Amino acid sequence: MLFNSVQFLIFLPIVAILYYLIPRRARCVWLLVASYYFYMCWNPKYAILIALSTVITYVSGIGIETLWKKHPDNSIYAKSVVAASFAANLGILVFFKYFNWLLAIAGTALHISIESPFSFVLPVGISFYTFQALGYTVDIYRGRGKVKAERNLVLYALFVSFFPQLVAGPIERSGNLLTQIEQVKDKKMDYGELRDGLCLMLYGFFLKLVIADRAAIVVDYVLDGYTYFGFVELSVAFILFAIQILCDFHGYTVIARGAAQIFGIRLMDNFRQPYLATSIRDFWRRWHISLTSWFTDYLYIPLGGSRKGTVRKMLNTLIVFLVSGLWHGAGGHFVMWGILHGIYQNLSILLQSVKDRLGFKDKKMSFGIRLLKTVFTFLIVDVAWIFFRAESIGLALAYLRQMTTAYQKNSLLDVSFAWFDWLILLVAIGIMFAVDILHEKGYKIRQWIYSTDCGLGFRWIIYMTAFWSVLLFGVYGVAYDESQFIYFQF
Amino acid sequence: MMKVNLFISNFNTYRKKIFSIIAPVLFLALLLGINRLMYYLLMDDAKSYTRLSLHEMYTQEENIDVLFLGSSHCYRGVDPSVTDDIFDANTFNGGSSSQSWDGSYAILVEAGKRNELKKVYVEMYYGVAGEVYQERELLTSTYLISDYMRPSVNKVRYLVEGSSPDHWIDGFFPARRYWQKLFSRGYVANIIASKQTDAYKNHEYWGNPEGEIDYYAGKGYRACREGIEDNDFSIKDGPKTVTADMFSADDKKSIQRIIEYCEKNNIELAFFSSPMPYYYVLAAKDYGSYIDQVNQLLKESGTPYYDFNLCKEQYFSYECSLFRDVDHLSAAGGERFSRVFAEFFTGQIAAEDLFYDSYEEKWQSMEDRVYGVNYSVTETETEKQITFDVVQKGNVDYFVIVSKRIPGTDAYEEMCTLTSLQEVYVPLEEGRLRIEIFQDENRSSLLNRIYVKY
Repeated sequence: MLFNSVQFLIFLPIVAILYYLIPRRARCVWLLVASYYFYMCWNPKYAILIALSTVITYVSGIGIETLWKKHPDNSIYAKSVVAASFAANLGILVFFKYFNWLLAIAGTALHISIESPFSFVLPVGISFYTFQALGYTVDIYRGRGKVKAERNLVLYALFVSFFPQLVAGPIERSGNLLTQIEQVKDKKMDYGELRDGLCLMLYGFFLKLVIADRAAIVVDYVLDGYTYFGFVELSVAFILFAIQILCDFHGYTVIARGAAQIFGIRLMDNFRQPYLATSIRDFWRRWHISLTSWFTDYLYIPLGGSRKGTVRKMLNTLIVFLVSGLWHGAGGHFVMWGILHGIYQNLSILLQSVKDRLGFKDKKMSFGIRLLKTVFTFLIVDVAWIFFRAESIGLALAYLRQMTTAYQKNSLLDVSFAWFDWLILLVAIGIMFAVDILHEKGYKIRQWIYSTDCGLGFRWIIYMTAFWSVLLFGVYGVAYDESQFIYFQF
Repeated sequence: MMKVNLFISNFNTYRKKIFSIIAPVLFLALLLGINRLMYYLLMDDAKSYTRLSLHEMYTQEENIDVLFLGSSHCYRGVDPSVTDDIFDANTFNGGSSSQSWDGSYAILVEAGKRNELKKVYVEMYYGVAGEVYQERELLTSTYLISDYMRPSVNKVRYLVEGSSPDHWIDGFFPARRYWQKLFSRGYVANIIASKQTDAYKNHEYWGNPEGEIDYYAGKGYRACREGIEDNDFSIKDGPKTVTADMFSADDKKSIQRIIEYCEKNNIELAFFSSPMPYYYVLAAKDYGSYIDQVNQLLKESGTPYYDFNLCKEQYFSYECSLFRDVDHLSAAGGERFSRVFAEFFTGQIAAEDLFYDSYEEKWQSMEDRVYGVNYSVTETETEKQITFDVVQKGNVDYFVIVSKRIPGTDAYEEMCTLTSLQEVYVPLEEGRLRIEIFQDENRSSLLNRIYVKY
């Protein structure tokens, strides 16, 4: 069930109304049932995988806590349970996500044709819920017996499978989500929370339906027939792809946050104006925050982080981004995308190191410098997106080669995209950046809308304008294919 | 002082609570209001027949006693101004373009809410049969009805069951279907202007306006004052052909609903098919099988079905002037058919006198001759090939003159003469052919004069 489907728009109110009508102690069971139903709309069989991952990490959590209590001075027992939990969960993930790809690589390396005995579609959201569950296991381990493992299987199962964030994150921590789930039974319906949740969802739909899916029309048209286009068209397509992927993924997260808030649960924000970043390191503090912080906490720091010198730090960074690339998908182009970001990060580390040695101090940036750095960061991120968007490294290189040729048979005017589609797209992108800039400057737009400063009449004009803008200008329904969120494939 | 503060605090709490209850209602009301406004601004329905007919149905002061339902074959076939007198009752035609049986059921329920219906007649045009409602791609015929239905559970059910979820937003928020028009210069202004006329506001533009060939004649009936000439019966790629399994499960379910609704409300129900030209019945190939399928479908309930294509010539003559096109009746045809229809259903004509017993019997009664032509156009790099399929009964000899219109004029120049019409080649440019089929080489007896656009 996609967020941008009519089924979801029926599903969510039903779940929410019953959630507030049934006895409070039954809420979590109801949300769990709804979450499994939500997931099973894609593929009922794969719900078993979530259940399996849930049981493994649930038992591991209790096991780790018990072992820490029994052997407070010896980590080897608890560590072995963590390792077993990782092996089991990552085993499932690797099998379903990478097995066929690894087999193909082996076949290519050995110059033999190996046919995979398994043929299956990738379970939606497997990387997200696996990482969330594993994060929980590590948190219990790091608590050394002081952080209690969840004993209530229903609550824990809901933590792993909570439907708003089940298939594309954000990858939540137990400290945030599980704690809130435990308090669900004490929560009263709050009009403010409901309203905020709905407003968030509306903004998410705006990002996804008005911007991402409209930009996708141009991007797909140009890149599917890239050999007919030249530098300008391909550049426009890749700039639009950068916008598309942000609005697609950010849109999903915002809808997820809004949906969760309807149930009184606040999910973490996954994006913080990433294209306003002034450096690549800044970008990664703003993009897919939940995954970046997961890798930082559970991979980068255990590898030694920045504690073992610059060279080791650079190596660790490269490893993290290599894994991040792999996390996104079984494909050389994803690995290349990760490596590129790893290289960017390492160049940034080197530059910082040189600046430190020469005694340069970071001064407050002027607007011009800030703008230049922002544009530069956007451009290098966009170059990496070329590898992300392509289906192979070869195709990515072909895109780049094509960009250097002047040959151009078609133009952007050939896209089945009317002038008003361009107008809507550009205005919508302008609105998105305006919202981002205001957030960057510390303005809390939603809070202002809800406040008395805004005024009741104006507030309702904003609601209605937003609603009708999405309804009228969204790319959905009969004339279009209901497009899946890009990050579902991960 | 404390009491005052407590009062203010309680007042604020209550105010918030009340507002939190009012807010969703207000939101919904605003949503519907704006939906209506957007629809007004974007929907070009100044010439919509269904808008008039449903408005008339909803606002009729007199009780509707007899209701006719179905596709264009119904609303161009049964004229209430004729049937009122013969039935001695207030009759109304609830037909709409390509109305499928779920649409008929929706209108039946709407009419039933406001009227004490006594008789309902549902048209069974075979062309609308076979749809799987959730797989419908084009929903024009659904929206023609739903756009003018008043808000009700019946309307929600009709839209939800009649289309896949992809179409629901277009159904409930019709403005969504026309959003591109917002960017069309002058469009909205023209729409507003067309809706500011008294005729539009008062739903009054029916009658027989000068210059209008097609017009709304009132009580749901649409008339066409001109009939077809020279047996110009021809359809590109031919009409839908009858297959062995015409009715989808959805059709059957809707027909069953109509039957049950009428049973429950003590309404006399009958199904019928309006007459079509011989050409169309022949071109549908195995039309007799369709009649059998309808009879089979209605067998269990015992609901009667009468196919007026089995009408004997002395009651309905099938001459081309009675048809406005290949399958719809003209005003003259409608007038004649309505009389036969009403006289039959009021017992003034006996079934055995009016109908042939079977399609075979009807077939036997038909003259061996050419009735029309189907054609298809295939484009190659150098020319267009127009392939013909002559619709005829029996192996008859005929003689054909093919003429091509001289560009920019109404004149035709003869291209070739043929003794069998199979294919003709024309240049790639757009043009028009005139195919004249004569009974013999002497060109004395014209059977058909057909115009083919290519």
